[in-house]
Amino acid sequence: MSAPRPWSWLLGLVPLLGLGELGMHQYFARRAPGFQDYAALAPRLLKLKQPGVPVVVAPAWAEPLLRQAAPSAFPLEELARADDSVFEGFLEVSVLGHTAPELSGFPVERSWRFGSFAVALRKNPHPTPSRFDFVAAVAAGQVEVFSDRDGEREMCPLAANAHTSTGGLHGHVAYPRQRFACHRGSFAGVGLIDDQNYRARRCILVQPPASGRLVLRFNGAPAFEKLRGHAGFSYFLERDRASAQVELGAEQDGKVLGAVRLAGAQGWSSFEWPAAGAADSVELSVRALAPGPQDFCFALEAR
Amino acid sequence: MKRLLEHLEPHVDRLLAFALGAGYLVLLLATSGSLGFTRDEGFYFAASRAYGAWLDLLVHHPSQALARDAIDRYWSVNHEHPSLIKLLFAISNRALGAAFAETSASFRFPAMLLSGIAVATTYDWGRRRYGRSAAVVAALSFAFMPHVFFHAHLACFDLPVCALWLVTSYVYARSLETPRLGWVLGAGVAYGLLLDTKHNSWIFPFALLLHFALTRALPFLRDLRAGRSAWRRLPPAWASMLLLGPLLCFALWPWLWHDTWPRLREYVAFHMGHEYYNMEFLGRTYWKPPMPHGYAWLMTLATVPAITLLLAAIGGSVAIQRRERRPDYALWAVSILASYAPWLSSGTPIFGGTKHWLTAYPFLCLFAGLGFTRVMAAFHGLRPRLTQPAALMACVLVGPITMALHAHPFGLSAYTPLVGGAPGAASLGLNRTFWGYTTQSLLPFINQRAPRRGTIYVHDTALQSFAMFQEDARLRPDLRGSLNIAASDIALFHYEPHMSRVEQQIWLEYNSISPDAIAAYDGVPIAWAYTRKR
Repeated sequence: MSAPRPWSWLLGLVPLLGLGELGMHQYFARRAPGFQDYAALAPRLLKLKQPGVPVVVAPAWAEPLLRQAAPSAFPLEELARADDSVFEGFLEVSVLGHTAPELSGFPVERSWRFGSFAVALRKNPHPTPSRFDFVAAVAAGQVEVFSDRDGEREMCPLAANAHTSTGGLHGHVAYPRQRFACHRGSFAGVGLIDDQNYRARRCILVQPPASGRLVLRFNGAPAFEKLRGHAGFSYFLERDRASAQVELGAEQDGKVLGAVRLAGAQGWSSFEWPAAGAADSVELSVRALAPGPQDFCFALEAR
Repeated sequence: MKRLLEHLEPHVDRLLAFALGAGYLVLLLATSGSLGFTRDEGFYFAASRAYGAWLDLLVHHPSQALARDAIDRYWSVNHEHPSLIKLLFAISNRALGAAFAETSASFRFPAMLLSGIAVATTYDWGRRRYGRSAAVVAALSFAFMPHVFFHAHLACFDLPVCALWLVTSYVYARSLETPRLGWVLGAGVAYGLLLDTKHNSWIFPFALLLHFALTRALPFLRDLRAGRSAWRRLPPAWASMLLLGPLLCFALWPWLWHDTWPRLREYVAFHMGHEYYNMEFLGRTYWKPPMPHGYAWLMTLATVPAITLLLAAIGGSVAIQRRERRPDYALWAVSILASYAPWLSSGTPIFGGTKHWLTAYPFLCLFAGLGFTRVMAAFHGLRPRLTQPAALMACVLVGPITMALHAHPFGLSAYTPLVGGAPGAASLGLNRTFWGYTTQSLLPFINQRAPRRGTIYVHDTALQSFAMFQEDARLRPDLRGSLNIAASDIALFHYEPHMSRVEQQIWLEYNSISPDAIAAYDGVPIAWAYTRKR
């Protein structure tokens, strides 16, 4: 064996490092809360949970455990919300000291400690409440849907219990049981898509006709200043498509408010259109720009 | 007793190598029943059954079996991968099936056996270079890398190709040391088996060329310039590997017996232009180039016990300083480099995680053994006896062994303390699982909760793997696996970010966002199940 070098005493630490790594492994293996901890947290969390205050779990990987323990803390419209800006506050459940990056700009108003969990009520400093939620209106059936071909409109009736269809991993998104079904297979209903972070977004799922457009008419919308929207496709399915696939447009009593063209590669994209004066009818139209079926989804709010 | 020990002394190392390999095989067999079936295993079970049927035909009707239509019918199954390992699965299943409690174990056995051979070979090579204690450290460090321990169970090609790369290198090194005909021919045979195992074998010649450049190029060039017969400097094993290797591969892969060149071209084209599957790395899902350059290095740091890496680094520095044994150390080094080399390109897929470069790990551990000799030297002559080799070995091995056993049956979810274990890795956005094998952890729930003759949406589990759960009586036989969520009574979800859309479909279809069962590893959800409420 070769002669010891001046730094060879450091080698004496190697076995200790081996034992140290074992100790660290044991520590990390036991560090995260277990099922029973989430079960214990659930009733306390539900006492704090208010409608319209979404629960956000940090880190996100812990969310399924809390969804299992406290399902009613996660209404789908909050869990798969289109946009954070509309909410006045969030209930952040912090595990292992993590905080949710998307809430970093929201100051903590109150906080609690429940065993391994820290819970904080974070207030949105500039909430912009919605005056009319188009997704909620579609879910409630408060919309008229037409297939429009060169100005000729054909009503798409509401099928309240249509045949559901799920595409699995590589197939289409889930087609909702309740949907406005048109003559040639196009439809509109409330569904979910995955955004560019593969997070769920609840939105109006539209399959426009191959030619013409699908029109959604909302009567009785209150006066508003602007429309704020988000739109996209299932990112997993369409993320390689860079050229525009659909056009979404809006009219208020015949006046054009705006239009956007969207491609799958853009992910969940936001847009805003100003109002064109007081009126109670808003029409949204979706037109396919590319061949093939397009499962396009958008969320829109009047503010 | 003393006489017995004296009698055994010359055979101790062979016995120890055998004990290490056999012990590992026994451990793998003992733990196989609690490990689920990966997607790829499902496909290889099916391929092996087809090859097995062809073997039956060969035995009973050889002329029919050798006809082109029979070869095409049986061997077209999974023909994008070489035949050897699937052929061994088939033989093991047919010949030894009755010896195992589960059918799956009979398929998995050859890969487990090769894993045991890899452990024994690591020991033997290490023992020849630096002695018994350090060789045990090398062998066990390899055996108990958590991801190696996982892959060693599987009826797949990743540990077999790792084992055969190691064995081929070992035989090649022996042929350089003592160029006897046996070693020279052995190198050719070993390389033939490597070629017929997995396409990693294509890189192996580059490793040998680099090794030659590092160890023999200068005298070779000197001879060349001086007009002497420089070819005498070429390793004789090269000829055997060049001739015997491809011949053996061809002989053992009936798919190549007809339309050889087009089929070879197809095989090469499939792997050179392989589809890019999705893989999460540092919070981002990669599905097309450019792939992250740091992937292989960071994943190695995050999944190989730090003590093994540290010992390997010490061993590497020892190897650089030492003048003796250079050819072996160089061969270990070039094997590591060659194994990682494809990931120097941002165009190389990363979808298989650490399994892509498993071939580097035995050599990394051989360096770790060398590093351990330096650690032992630092303690030489010290008291108390706690500093004796056995105690030092325990210190550097207890961590890896504990981590590997603890990770079972969630092997792919195993991360080292360097990244905060599984919770730390999940927070960093490192892949939590893939291949759908964690269905195993949800089986008790499914068996208990599924309605009679119910349908299970299997998500990422291959239907052939689902069928094997039933064949092995791990899963109720009345259940049906399905790829249709809408038709299912229970829906499984194996977490990968890009697959979240599957869970979202389940939410809508089942009208529930609350999983009814979650398989978690160290507090991190890995796979979960929903039941349809009626």
